[in-house]
Amino acid sequence: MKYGFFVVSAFALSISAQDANLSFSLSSFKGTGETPIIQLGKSEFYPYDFNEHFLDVSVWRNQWTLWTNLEYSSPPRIGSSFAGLRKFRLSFENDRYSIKLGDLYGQIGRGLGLNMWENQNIDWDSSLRGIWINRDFSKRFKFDFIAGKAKGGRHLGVGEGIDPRRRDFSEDENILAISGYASKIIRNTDFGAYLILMNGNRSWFTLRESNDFQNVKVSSLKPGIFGKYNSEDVDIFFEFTSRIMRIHNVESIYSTPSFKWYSYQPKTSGRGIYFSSSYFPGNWGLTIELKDYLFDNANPDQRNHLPFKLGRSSLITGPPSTFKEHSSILLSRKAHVMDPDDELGFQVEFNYQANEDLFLTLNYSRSSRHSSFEKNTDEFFNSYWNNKKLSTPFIPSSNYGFHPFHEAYVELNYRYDPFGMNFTTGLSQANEVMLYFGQSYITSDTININTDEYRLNEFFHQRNLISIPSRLSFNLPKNLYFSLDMEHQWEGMDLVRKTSIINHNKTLSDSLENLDKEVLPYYYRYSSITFGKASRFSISFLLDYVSNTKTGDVFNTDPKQDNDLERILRRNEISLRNKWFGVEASMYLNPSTIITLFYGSIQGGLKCDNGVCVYVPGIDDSSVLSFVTNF
Amino acid sequence: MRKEFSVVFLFASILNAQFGELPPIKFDLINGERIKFEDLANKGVVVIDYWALWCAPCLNKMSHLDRFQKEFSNKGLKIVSVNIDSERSISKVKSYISSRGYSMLIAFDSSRENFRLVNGISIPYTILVNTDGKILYRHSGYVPGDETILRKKIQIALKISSDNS
Repeated sequence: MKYGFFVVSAFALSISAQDANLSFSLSSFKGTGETPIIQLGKSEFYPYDFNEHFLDVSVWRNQWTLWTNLEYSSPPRIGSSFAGLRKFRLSFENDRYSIKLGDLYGQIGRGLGLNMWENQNIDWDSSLRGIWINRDFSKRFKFDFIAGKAKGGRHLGVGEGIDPRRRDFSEDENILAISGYASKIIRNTDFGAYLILMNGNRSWFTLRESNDFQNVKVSSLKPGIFGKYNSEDVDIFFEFTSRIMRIHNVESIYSTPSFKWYSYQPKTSGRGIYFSSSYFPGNWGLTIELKDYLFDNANPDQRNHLPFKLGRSSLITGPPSTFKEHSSILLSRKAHVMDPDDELGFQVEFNYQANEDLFLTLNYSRSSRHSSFEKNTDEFFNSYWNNKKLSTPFIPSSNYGFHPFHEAYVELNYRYDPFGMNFTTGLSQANEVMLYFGQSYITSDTININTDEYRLNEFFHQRNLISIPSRLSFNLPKNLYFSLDMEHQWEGMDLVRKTSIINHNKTLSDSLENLDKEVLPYYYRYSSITFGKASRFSISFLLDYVSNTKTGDVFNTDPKQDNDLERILRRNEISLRNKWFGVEASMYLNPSTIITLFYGSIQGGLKCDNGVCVYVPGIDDSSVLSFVTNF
Repeated sequence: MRKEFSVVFLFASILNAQFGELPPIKFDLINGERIKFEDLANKGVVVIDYWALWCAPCLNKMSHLDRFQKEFSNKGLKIVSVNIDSERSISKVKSYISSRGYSMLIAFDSSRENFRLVNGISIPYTILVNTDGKILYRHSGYVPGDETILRKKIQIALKISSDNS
């Protein structure tokens, strides 16, 4: 309330002057339906309503601007209920200074050190509430001072019996950052350096269902450097940061007996490196990005509890993902979930404008973790994690234990003006090891123990994906249009058990003793047809289909559960098994005011942004009304 | 009481304020320069379009915007295409723009502060502003045919008869 009074008063005072300007935007979403909560073999549906309203108000006068964001949600589609002033920022800017007070967004470098951003659709918020002072010395030297507090939280994704709409835990961090930046020191080259101090609280507990968690104080010191080179057809960037992290009162973590099997170091260090380079001489361009992030190295026991791990990166660390982030519905549901604490790899993207109408994009990305862990049992039956480490920077491993990921993607965009046609199609081939467990023990006979040879049992899940997203649209007379989205995806989940004999003194090659592979096939389809008139109205029919679900659930087989739309379809003998149908109608009341009504069901799935992924649950038999305007 | 007073004062003040003006934004251009909106608006009508690489409708719209830039540049039209991808995508954006051969001004708003200030909710978000900074037209989203409507709005703003073009 103290912030509210301050902002409302400042706001009122500033616009009371005749030369103040004001603008508003309002977005409202109201829906009702059911959300599935996964129970293996028999997911349950819980009814819920959501009610989200946001009012953005900007006011400015001379060099002062005030932006406020008010929210009333009870509850939102994802996240916690809130009513009141959610965000605000008062800024002053002239040629030499800029001062911002309130909620801060932005990056230093490319985000390895500090990345303050927000996306309400995935309930992510790493913005700081505080002050940001930027001083520009003679257009060549800049200095930034940032101090504030981040209050965020994380979702752990889908899990049995879990309501994925809520955050699993929250955390807060006090941040103090200073940064210096020098432009054109050498021809076309800029350099910068920063130092970030973090002091925060993290909740930590072992079981997701448990309420038995404690707040643990953590702090870190993160110095970093970055540099840029720009010319007419070349762009090069690099950033390096290192982190020293302390967990205070480590001993207190072990006060509960069930936590004893963890061992945390009170002080750890990590680092992150990022490099990107682009060459764009004419009608083609080539971009290469490299990443090598090793802030925290976790064995599988710790990784199973990774989100709770105290050594993880700060909330405000958001390094580049360096793989293709797709807008396709199906591809984004199966996105690679980056581990910003332990990942290395590269991405290469090639763009080519073949002629005026044809544009081509090729993308290849590859990544893995830095370590592969195997559980070793020695001759005395002691078990411990054996950590095999990669030694080459930026080059990921293809060994299963390193959780390799790769994607090759090609996209073609073709425009044919006489028909007002636009056609985009893509082809993606990707595979990723989703789960790996390796266990090794000495081979022995009844008399002698041969300590040179080990038997390695490996169990892993590897996901293979082929996806074809495509979109076709036509302009019709009188600004009418028609568009068709069709996406197909084939998934083969390999469940592999492999046993090898490993010789540790390397004189013998590894020999495969047993390989057992089972492939679980899945097929997904998403399609939508839209007909409308530009800036007037549109009506869309949406269909989402899965051949079978991973949980073993079968959806939409009981006619008693049908909504009105499904009843019509079933009457026309259309199979509804594992299908989600929806109809969406939109109308523009004026060019900046749109009202939309959705009726039907939406399948849940991953939504990702900036490498952060959150499972957004589906809604069943729902209606959603949205209203967006600005003036 | 304090709350009620603030609300009454707020509404009284709103009646006094001016609407429909573009906030005092600055554009961080692809070549590293920083330019104020007023400096652009002094030279003619300005179209500001917010977009991102991951937004397919935005990319479709951009090709039409670039055509408008080429067609109406001698009439004083300036189109600023503002990318709101995070700063890490800058290399890719430069490569994309150069390959496409676009001639409009390209700017970055990685923190999305300007986007929020101009009340952007979804992208593509297009604003047509006259030389006085008055917003003549704003529109969110893109479907085929939207470019025809925008073209007409630009022609009206530039005071060109649609038969001439």
